[in-house]
Amino acid sequence: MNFKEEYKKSADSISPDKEAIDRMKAAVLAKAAEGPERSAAESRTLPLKRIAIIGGAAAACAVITISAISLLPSIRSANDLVEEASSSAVSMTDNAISDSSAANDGGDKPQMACAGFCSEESACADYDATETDIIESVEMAVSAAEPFTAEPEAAEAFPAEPSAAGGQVNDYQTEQEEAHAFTAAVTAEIYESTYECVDTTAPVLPSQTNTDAGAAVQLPGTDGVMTASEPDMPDEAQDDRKEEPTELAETEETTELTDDGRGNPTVGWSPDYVIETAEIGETLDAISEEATSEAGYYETYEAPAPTESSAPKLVLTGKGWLTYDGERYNEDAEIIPAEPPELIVKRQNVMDKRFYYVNLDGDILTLYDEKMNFIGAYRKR
Amino acid sequence: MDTLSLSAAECFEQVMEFYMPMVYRIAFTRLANRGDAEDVTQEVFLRYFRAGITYQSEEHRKAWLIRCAVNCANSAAGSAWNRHRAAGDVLDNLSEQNGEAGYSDCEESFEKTERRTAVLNAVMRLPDKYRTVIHLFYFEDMSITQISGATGLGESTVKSQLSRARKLLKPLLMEYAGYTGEVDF
Repeated sequence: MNFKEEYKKSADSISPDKEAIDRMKAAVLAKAAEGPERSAAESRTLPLKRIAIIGGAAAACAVITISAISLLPSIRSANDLVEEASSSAVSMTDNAISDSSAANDGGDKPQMACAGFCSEESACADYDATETDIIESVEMAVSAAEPFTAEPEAAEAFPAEPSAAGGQVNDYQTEQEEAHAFTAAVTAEIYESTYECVDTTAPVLPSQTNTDAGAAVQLPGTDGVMTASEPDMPDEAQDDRKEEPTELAETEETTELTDDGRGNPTVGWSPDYVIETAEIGETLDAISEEATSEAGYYETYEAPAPTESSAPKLVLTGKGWLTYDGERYNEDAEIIPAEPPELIVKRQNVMDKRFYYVNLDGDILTLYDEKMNFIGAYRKR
Repeated sequence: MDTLSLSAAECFEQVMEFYMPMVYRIAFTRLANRGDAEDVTQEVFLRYFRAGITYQSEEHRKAWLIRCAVNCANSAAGSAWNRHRAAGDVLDNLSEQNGEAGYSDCEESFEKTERRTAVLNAVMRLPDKYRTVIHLFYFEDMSITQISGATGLGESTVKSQLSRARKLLKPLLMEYAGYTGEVDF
């Protein structure tokens, strides 16, 4: 059997018939007539992920913008409300301050009113000038002072005496006099006003302006010299101030000598202590006796025995080594002590809080339990 | 090339009429299904039309069409539809195809028809990768080098695939046609 021939004959039978060929040709021609195949770029699926990210970002931006736009008016209105409230509060405070200052320090004591509320213009009951007014007045004063400097020259050119000019006063003289008067008035006003406002900023006012001080009195033998008297104080306060020196003087007298004329052994002690002891009824003898006993106690004072905290620390690790007084000791099985020595120290183990007897001989530490049973020997590392 | 010119259309129709059975047989050998073979054939000629390549010779054109048919058939065979299609469907298509072929030759020689159907059934029972090589080698009379160029496989691979296909065909031919003698490949 020849497979090639047999296969060719059998494969011929699977060839498409005429109808199938025509059908396929028509389909191909129809598809070809439709035009070129869409390119890969055109047929590519939409980048949904990218679109989602960009869209989400844009939406977030839009939301933020819209919320900001919607919130701005409310924020502005809130700010306006806050400003109104603060301004009204300030104005109310100013009014209250001015009223109180006017009520307390008005009239014949305007300087105190300014002293208390120098920063508030409205607090000055008698002076309403603002800073700009002060500056303007100063400038006016400076400009008005210029004729003052030129006055001697003008005086040389134009005699001041009316008689020098034959009893006639010219216009220039009149203007100068008016200017002089005006300048003097303005300067006085400025000095007064600036003194009031500038001086009131000082923390301490001169004694002349301190109206709280007592009334001025004339001391005997001083003609026309007025001195400020002591300020009026409550009677109780005066009593307190007067009692202290008297009491201290009495205390000093009592500390110098005892009742029987001997020297007081408590000299040099603090008066407070004496006062305290006197208050509880003890006599000076008792006090001296107590002081003597205390002194003897302190002379015979001995250092206390080392406490548990100051004793060397024993730390049994249970792993073949321990630490004693900060030193490490490794267990040495070759060391076999004969008997427990007489001088042995009882220490408490930090780990289990049990007491052990420790004998330290050079670098070798032997350990016994509470019943003096040998536990182990350790050598310093 | 949005529209086809008359001369080009005439040339294209001639090419289709001449090479369409060859392309169809290659596709059918690979897919063992008429409808799929027709789809692959149309796709191959559509690509040929859209490529617009100027071929140096008819051998060059034939080689291009065979290569394109093999690739398109492999793509169609690897599609999800063909991968999940039941094997019985393929066998039914084969039986139908063989039955039609048998009816066409039945009047002349029933024996010959039975033998050819048995040979085709035996080839169709081969693994997919062997069927194409067998078809190209025995039906299209292509050399191993040409088959290597058309399928993209190495020559040694083509040789080994042919050898294995022959070994597999022997028992299949004996099973379907009752051959007892030697089969001359």
